[in-house]
Amino acid sequence: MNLTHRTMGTVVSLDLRCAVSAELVAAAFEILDEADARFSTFRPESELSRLGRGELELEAASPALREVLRLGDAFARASGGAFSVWRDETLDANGIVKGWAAQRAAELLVAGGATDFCLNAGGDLITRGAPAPGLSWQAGIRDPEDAARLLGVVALGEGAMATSGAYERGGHIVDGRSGGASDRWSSVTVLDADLTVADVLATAVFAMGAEGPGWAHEEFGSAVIALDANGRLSVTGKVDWAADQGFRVASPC
Amino acid sequence: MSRRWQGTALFAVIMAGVSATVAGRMLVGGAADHAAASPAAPKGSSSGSSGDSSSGSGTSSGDTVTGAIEQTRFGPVQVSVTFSGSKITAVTTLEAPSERGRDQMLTEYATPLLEKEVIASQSARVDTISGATYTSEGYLASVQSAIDSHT
Amino acid sequence: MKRGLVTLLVVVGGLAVVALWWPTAVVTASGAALTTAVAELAGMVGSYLVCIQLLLVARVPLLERAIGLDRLVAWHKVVGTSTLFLVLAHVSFMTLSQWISNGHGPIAAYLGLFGLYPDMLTATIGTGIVLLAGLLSAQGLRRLLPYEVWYWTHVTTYVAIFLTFLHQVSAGPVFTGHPLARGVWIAMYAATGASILFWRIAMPVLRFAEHRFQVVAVVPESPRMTSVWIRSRRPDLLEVRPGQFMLFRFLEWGHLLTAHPYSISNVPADGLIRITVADLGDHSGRLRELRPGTKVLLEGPFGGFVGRRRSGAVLLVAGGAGIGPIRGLAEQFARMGRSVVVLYRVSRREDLAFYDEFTGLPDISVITLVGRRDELGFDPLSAESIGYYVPDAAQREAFVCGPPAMIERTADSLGQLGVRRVQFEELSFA
Repeated sequence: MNLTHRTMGTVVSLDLRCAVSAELVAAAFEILDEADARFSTFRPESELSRLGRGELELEAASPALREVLRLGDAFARASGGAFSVWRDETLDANGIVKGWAAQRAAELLVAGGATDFCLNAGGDLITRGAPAPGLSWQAGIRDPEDAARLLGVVALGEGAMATSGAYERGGHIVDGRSGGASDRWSSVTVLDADLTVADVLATAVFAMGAEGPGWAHEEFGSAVIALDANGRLSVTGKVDWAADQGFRVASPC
Repeated sequence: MSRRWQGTALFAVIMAGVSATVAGRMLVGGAADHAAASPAAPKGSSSGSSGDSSSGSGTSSGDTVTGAIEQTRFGPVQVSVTFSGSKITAVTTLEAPSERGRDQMLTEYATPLLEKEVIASQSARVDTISGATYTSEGYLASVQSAIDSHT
Repeated sequence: MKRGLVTLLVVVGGLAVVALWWPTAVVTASGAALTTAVAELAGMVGSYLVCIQLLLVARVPLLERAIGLDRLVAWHKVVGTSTLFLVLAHVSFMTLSQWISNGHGPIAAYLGLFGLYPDMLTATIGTGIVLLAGLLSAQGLRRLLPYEVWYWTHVTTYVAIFLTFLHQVSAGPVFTGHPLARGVWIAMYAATGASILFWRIAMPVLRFAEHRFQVVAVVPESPRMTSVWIRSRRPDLLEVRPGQFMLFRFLEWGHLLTAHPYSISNVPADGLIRITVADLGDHSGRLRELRPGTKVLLEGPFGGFVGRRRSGAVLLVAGGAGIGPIRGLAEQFARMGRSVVVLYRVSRREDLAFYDEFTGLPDISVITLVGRRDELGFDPLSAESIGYYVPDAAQREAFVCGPPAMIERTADSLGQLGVRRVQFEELSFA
């Protein structure tokens, strides 16, 4: 069963391969809507915007907000500032919220008895179980230059995958350390068990540039697939590619 | 030409030939040679940097070849390659075995193993797509929406 | 023509090396990849040329006959210069490649190579030795050093070549994982090594076992020239003609470590050969000390003059110690019934050697040109002078032996006189 839900300025897809109640699905989507309301930078009335304008004290903020900010702060320190929840003196948690919310939605589904599903929140996805007995979830990575093409298909199994790029919503991902736009990579995909981590790391690695993939793998054990401006794909860590793809192996450069 | 400069001239001629040959090799390109090459592993190496040597030879079992332990600048890296006939259909990077090698790899560049001419042919089953967050409008044009509407 | 053939074969071999490199090479349009590829190919070509270089002086009889030792040595030097530069290029480009990747500077880059490739330490040591040997062989420096120092530095290059060979087959991408390519490379080096062992070491030893060469007499010819007579117990196997030279290694303390080329100055008979050597300040001066009974290892014969025609008059021009080979040639030609004129040029009268010998031989006219040019006021080897002493020079086949400057002047003069066939032997050889 495939359900879609518009939220967070994007479309969330839920591919369910097991039977669950409609209430559970609704509750999962509700988590995403709530996060949208709380953290959206496009809504002036969101809690995050109010906090950013100084209309709200941090002690009075919701536990969810404080947790996201705490996570954002931790990732900022871990990445040496390449990832940051601050942009141009305003709070912007877009690099973490979607993954964090989708991760919580997925945990809710699991707690509610869902065994086999794929939740894709606008390109950040998390899987559980299998699409069918004997198969494992396979996720393609979009080609940044052509929406209809894929860079490759990963045999994901159970896990999370998030991709960062500057090609969709038009903004530039900024390297928090320098303030400048990062152009080392044109697309970064991170595989991790946790979608929050994957989402943040995808942004952080993109912002960090060349040392990003290594850092992500070292600190978090994640696998990173990064496409550079010349069209060269870098793979750091263990990635299982799906069979039946037309790969050509380059040789060493 | 006097004797003492003949050696230098010969060297200059040889270097010119070497440079031309290298340039020619680059233009002719063809990493595709490796797909059809012997099951000895494709040469893995580090990113865009010094070409490294590969060592040892691969073993194969059926269609999947566990490649040689490639000496990359970060230490040994092992690649497992699955062939369908002479075409490579899957490549898996296994972790580098040695701690020291892995640590080095992790602090530096990733290992590029695949070219961009990677085509996920329709024969690969795709259940979902990961990409940079699309807008709602962008979603409609995306492959994800095609998947969603067909499932 | 034979020279052209050998050159062609060497070039074809070089192309085969490129063909060996081509299939497994991966060259992408990045600075690091390009520099690495250049480094690898330059290294392989250089390594191949090292084998060629060694083969040129391995005393392979086929090469000696086809090309001649003096030209082979000349080629050896030319190829050697290029291999030295190729080795430097190889090291430089590999270091540059690492520098491009890591960006920490050349020394860090070179040290970085140690972490990447096996056998780098031996390669570095070997390269250092090769550079040193190359440096000491360079034109200017070589003259300042005693022959022995140069010779032994040169010998250590064999060690160096072995040391650098290791990293080629263990680290070179063309070879690792490609047993066939590695086999070819090892075979190339093995064949070269075998050639050297056989023709430079085994053959002289075998020849010595046959001939049992030993010194029978040491005769001072003039204050600065000495003749050494050497006998072989197998005259029937001795094939050496006057004007040719051989490499002599006297098995005696003080002479053991070097093999010197000396020209044969007699017409060998009954297994007796004679060398006549001028004291040039190095080993040649110590020949006087040799005692009869000293055993000698010989290599050769090499080069020398070859009488192209069976008949006709000859003009032999000897400068100083060049009288050695000229003396033997003169007698040989005289025995063939040809008219022989010898122009013998020395600076001082006491330097004259063999004068009595010459006067004892019929049909040889010896014209001595004694005195220094500044004292005489003219150049005895000028065209006018030679034309005066030898009016029919243009009808004679000429042979000139002496120091390089003298040969040049003489060649010039003979050319002016219209002498068409001239052969030279330089005394400052090897």
